[in-house]
Amino acid sequence: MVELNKFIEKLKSLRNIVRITVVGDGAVGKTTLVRALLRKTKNCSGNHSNINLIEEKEIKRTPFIEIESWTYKDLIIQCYDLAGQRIPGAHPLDILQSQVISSIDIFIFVFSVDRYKSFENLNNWRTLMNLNNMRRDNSGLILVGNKIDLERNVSRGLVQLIAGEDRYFHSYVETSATKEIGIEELLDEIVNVGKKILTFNNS
Amino acid sequence: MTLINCKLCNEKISFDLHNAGTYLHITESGNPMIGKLYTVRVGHQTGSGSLHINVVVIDQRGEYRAHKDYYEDKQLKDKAADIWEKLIHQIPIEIRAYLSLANNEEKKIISSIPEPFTKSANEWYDVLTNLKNENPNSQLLNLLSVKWGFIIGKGKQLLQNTYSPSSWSYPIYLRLQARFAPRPELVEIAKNMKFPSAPPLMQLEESIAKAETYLRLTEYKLIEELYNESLRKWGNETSVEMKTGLMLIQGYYGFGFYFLGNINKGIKLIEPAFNFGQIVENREVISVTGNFYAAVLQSSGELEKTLQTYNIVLDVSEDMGDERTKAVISTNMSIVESKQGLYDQALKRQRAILESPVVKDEFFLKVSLQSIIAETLFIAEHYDESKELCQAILLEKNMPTNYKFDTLSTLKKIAGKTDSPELLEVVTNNLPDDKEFLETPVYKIFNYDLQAINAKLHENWHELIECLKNERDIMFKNKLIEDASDIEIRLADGYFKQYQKFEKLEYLNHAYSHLDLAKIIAIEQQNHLDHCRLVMLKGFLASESKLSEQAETNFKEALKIARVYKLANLENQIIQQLDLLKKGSIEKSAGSFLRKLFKRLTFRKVEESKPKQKNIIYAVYIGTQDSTWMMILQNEKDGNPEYTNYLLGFRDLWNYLGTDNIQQQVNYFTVSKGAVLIEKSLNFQLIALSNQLDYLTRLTLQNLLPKIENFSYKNIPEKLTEHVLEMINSNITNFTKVK
Repeated sequence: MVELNKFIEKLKSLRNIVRITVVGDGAVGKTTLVRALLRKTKNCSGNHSNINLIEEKEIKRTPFIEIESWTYKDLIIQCYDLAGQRIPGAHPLDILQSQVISSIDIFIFVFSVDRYKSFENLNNWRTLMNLNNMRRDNSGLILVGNKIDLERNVSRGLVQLIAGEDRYFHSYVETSATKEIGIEELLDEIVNVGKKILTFNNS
Repeated sequence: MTLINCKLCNEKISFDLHNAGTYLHITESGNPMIGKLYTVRVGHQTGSGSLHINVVVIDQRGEYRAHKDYYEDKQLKDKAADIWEKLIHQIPIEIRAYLSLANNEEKKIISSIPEPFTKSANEWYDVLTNLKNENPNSQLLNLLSVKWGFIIGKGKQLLQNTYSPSSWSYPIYLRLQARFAPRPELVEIAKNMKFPSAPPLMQLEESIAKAETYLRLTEYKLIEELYNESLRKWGNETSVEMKTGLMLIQGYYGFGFYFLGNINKGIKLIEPAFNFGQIVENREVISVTGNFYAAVLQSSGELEKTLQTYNIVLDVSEDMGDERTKAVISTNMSIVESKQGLYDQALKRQRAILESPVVKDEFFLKVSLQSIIAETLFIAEHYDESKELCQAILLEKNMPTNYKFDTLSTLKKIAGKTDSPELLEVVTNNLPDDKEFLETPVYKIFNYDLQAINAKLHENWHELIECLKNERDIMFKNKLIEDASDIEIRLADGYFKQYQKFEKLEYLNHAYSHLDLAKIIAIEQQNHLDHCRLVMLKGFLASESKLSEQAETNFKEALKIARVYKLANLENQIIQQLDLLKKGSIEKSAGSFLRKLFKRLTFRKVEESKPKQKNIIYAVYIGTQDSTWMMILQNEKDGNPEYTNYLLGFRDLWNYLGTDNIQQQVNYFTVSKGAVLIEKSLNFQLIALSNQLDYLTRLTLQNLLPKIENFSYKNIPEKLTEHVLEMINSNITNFTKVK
């Protein structure tokens, strides 16, 4: 099993594949965020028709798990979009936990800046994915504060406690997926962290 | 000092973490990732008279971290928080925990409950029901009213409403259906009932409902799974409300063991749940687990402790104003008292309950209580009073068949006990004309019994035996063995009369054999008094038949039982009989003692059969008396070589001992592995190893030998082997022939 994992890592590095996942409470805008990322990337290889979703007034919630992929700055980014509303036993993480998590390079934790509860629950998501023993050099954790176009109810001071060098999350990006604010910055951050991981895996 | 902007009016508001007077409420929050934080509810008055509430998160230094919520409260002004706090301390404890599920709107509604909050159980129900009716869309208000109604005994009333499966009250509805209208499909409904996204308290409520449904529909395996799953989910929870729910589930789980016959395990699980209920003063837990606890105690013979437990439950139902439960508990207490021989006390209690308004208003409650009183009078040997009451009950119009039948059963017993042809006629004339009922085995048994009593009144012993045998056949086929002891003893009486008339030893053997079967029932039910009297009866039978050696063996056995179980009165009587036997003068008195004992042991109130473990036969040995043919069979599912070898070892020893007097009289042994049962016929011998001494098993084995004797090819070993195996497999369970 260890040998197989090494082989997969090698394969990913050779093909410049970075796997990411987006987690966080329901209705923090994860699906919309993925769509915005897709829209921003020119060489998107995902389901193009879905991009139109962003135009719709009401974004539908993810039913289970979707895998999107796109290329951006020489990297193939595969995104596992997990359902936000957590029903014990029914959430993909409960069923596919080890399979999904072991293959992910970058975890993007999303909360909604207008909803404190979604910020408080980040700890639950970390616990759920059992990331405490994760090696920092071959994986990345990015914190995203979404919906900055709405009223801010989580202070920057609170976010600073957990994001930054030697903190729970390596970096913090603020976005508005619907207004496409901060999306490029997030993509750059994914590429930045992804390349570091690939370099480490090749070494 | 913390300074924040009101999210509603942008006004600057300040408060001090260390000064409780500057905010409405504070709770500790946060987690290992974001550290220790505080959630503070701050309110400020506006010019328009309303209250702006901001719920903010601050750190330990009082620094603002986040806004959790904000809202305008028009009703909850200055004293609103105080009222809420007061309310959550005075609302009944059994539903208090659910207040934590209230949203702001619901808090507002609940806070509108008029003071004072020291209301009676029924007043709370009225208030909560009004709130529910005025706010039909609130899950919580609906739950509060329904749950409280359920606890205080408004079940039947609540069943008249409709409940959506997504309603938080649905688990209560399911429990009510399982209580008042149990049917198999409720198990599937319970299995499919899920509140995955509801708060943990509601998930617990769902599990409690499942536990009760599974128990009432005898799905013990499902309760076990549910109990283990609940322990996994909430076993480490320390909050009182979660623990309370778990204890209720534990109570249901424990009571399942009672039905499975494992009383000790039941007590071990139910006792802590009942104690916990008393410690936290939760009347729902006390009431549910108290009833269970009393039942297991009663079953284990601890009648005094049973009454104490019922008293606690009675206090609770009184406190809740639940008149119906109070009447039912009080009736149960009177039954325990009558078991203790405290007939006057039991009757006094029963008559007082009969006067209570709830019993007067509810026809069925009244009739069943009257029926219990008639039965108590019967046990207390007040036959005339009992008879009068039964006849009065029979005059009631629109009596359901089962109620009528209970009363007729009591009258039939009085007729048998007092040898009254007139009363027998009353019973016959009042038989229900419900066609469906007349086809039931219960009725057929009853009818044969009437004929048997009639035969006895006419001293037609042959007919008595035939009627009772027919009765026993139906009873055996339908496993309706409540009256089995009575039938066996009356059969013994009939055969003994035949023996006295015709002096055929065969009749005496039959009489003994039926008394032995009655003895097995007494042992099974741990009825030591009956056990001792039946062995005495065998002694008198032997004395009357001038078999003094056998009589001595029986009396000595009875004496041993009397001494072990401290039956002082019987001990003295037996010593006297042994003395008379020694002097050779027992024959003078044996006849009258014999009659008295037969009378005492027949036509009695049927004791509720105690739940017991399922009976298992591990191995069977069948062979000819001369050992020219034999076969050993092992239970395919429950047997194993150890049990089979044990049985074979026993058979070798038994046959080695030979056929002395003792061996003629002994037909079972209780051993460490259960019981060894021995049956003999003219040509065959059968020895079986079973997990316990059991009447139905004994009867099954007894019925096998005549069939083997009557088998046409019994002298052809191959045919006989095939036939016996087939017979055992169809009458008991699947067995394999062991080489």
